[in-house]
Amino acid sequence: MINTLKKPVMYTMMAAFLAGGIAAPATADIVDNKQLAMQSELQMQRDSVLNLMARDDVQSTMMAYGISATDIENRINNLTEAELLQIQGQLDQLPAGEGALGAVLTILLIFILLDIAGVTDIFPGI
Amino acid sequence: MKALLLPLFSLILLASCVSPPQSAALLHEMPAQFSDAVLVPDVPFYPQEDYQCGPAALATVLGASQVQVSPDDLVPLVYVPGRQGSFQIEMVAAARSFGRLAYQLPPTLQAMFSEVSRGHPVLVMQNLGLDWYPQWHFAVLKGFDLVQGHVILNSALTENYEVPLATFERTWARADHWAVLVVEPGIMPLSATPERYFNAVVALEGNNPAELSSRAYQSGLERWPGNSSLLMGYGNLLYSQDDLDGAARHYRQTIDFHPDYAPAYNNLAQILLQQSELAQALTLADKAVELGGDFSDNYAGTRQRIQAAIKAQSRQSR
Repeated sequence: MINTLKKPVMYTMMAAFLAGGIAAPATADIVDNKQLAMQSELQMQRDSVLNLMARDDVQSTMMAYGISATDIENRINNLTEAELLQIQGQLDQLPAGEGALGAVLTILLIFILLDIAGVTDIFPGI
Repeated sequence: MKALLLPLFSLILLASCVSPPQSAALLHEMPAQFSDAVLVPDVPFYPQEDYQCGPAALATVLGASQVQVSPDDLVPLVYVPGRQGSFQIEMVAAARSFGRLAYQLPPTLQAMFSEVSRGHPVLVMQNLGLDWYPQWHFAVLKGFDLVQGHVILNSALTENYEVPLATFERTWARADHWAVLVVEPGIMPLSATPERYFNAVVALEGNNPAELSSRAYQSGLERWPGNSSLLMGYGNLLYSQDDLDGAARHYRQTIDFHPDYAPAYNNLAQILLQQSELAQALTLADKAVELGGDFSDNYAGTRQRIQAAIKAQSRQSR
């Protein structure tokens, strides 16, 4: 119970903190580039609370995927707000490029045939 | 068994007979500019270790854009152990973190061939398997030969891997035609559109020195001198560098090209406020408020600040 209450409160506090910090310098109401980009890209909700939740979600998924805590921080910082919102809750469905062969034997034959036919390209030798 | 194999074979034959649309068009009527074979020289090659085509392909395009980095250095930035692979969005983000502009190309072979023709290899995603049995893979397109009908990739363990154009198009189409150009800021993607380019530049701006995105804005404005996003974006960048005059010049140009574009009035008003040109600032802020739109809160805030400054001034002079 305490935990479920804690999070929204934390988000609100962080959002308030962020909102104060986003406009640079602190005493200007300039329309900045993040706002301009968001507006033209996806008409996304410019809600920093949402963004913090996305951050939290992506972070925990990455942790479950075995990425180290220090790397996660780095990697999330490399993402734009728009990208974060885009992948929130989606990571488990996104394709991950690997390229090594994971084929099960039973369908190996099918793929060899498809490779020969030029439909797929799993075995470079064919 | 026989009963199973026959339909299977006919299915496969059927699938292979239908040429994918772009290849068919290109091979049927070869555009003159692509009639010569092209192979980008000096593209690094990193034979990938297990599952690590992401770091390898990224190191390849970064190397081609003069960033020397090994796949091993990229593993902490893009590899996802739990998925034994890398996500597209992180590949793009990691390229940016090395100060490179990452621009997603439109879904055409021609857009890629144009870049390859002028010496820029292209990062691509493929689904080497099928929709119901995907084998996601990153590779680097570095050449093509339409007379022979193939493209040339650095892929997995093979350097200069020649793939029939139709096969490549099928595998690439199955990954939604995903292709990303990674270049030094200042180099314009040939097929760029202003809004997408602007978004790529703003993303670059996030974690890099202003000098880099400044170059990207400048070449963007050479191509589209009147684009409001790029003019505003560059103005904002100069503003963040405390170059108030330079910023004001770009906001003014924005207004010249787009007299109804409220953010330009607002930001110019802010600068005039900082330069104590209060009367002018108020006129501009009024205009922004009057035009309204997405950032109305900003406009109201700017106007309030200007009004407060005017009050303070008249109090002082009294």
